[in-house]
Amino acid sequence: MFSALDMTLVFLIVAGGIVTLVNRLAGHYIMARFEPIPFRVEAALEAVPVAVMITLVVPTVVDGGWLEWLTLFVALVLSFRLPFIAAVFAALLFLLGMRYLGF
Amino acid sequence: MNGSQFDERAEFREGLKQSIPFILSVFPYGIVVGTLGINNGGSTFDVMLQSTLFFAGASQTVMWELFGAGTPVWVVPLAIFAVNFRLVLYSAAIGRKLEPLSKPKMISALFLLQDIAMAVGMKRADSPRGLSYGHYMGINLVLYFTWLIASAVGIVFGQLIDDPRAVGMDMLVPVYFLLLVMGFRTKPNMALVFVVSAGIAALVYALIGSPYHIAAGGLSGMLVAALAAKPEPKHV
Repeated sequence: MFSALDMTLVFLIVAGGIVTLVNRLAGHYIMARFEPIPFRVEAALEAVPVAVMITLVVPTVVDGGWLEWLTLFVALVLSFRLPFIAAVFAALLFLLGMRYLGF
Repeated sequence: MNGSQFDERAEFREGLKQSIPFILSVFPYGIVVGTLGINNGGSTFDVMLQSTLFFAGASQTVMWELFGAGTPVWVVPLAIFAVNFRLVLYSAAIGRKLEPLSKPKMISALFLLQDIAMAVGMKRADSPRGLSYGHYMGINLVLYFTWLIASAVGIVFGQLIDDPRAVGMDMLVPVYFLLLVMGFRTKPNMALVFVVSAGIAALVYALIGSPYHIAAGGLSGMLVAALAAKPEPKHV
């Protein structure tokens, strides 16, 4: 199937790509102006992985039911025992098994 | 960080090796995004262009949903900025771990920045060897090409994953991020950051909605980390 290029869409994609690159560059190049950075700012930056990534779990907890909560809990427990990716897939297998059984 | 050419290559190879488990999660996500693009009015060219320029699944998904729903064009880049705002924070956190780096190298590294790059990179930066450009590029170039291939697979085999829920795709992202977060549990004050960030994010998500909970939760967690921080002892 060949259709004429939808120029609006191409424009949107290029604009979105530029916006995303600006996001990726801005943080570092803004911070670089403030070297050396105070210890409190340093602590805030060290907290970024936990502070930001946990927010990506929140919608599932708010919108989810008991099976979603249980799956997250299972993943949490497994993370103490298994390597990262094994724990991820074991938790997902648990979820699929439960759904397959009709839960 | 200032290693010889040889070290840089060894680091690159180690990055390649470390990328393997992450391919397993990037691949299905890329398929879903590729399929979504085709189903929402994108051509093969559009979808591949998007994956090449964005390399950021959540914002790609949002763009197709808004485009498919006929949202006014000017809203779309704003929505993309909001969804990708976390990349600003990631960039601030990891850029300085990659320094010192020439401008082209720094820009190439930041172009590939996403959640896994940040999580693995920050973890490496805490280890005795520290983060290196070679290690970072080893992982993230693999993930970039995985993303492109997976997008193409999603385009060609549109219905490969036709009910994302039936294969657990709806829980891949949350389980994944929860466990990435757990990898940082030994850092000081992380339990406090975890609770504050999750609490504020839940509140904002319930009252205002997505994607504002990410910035609100993230910035609150960073603020509490800043307030709880103690100055480095001078003699170190």
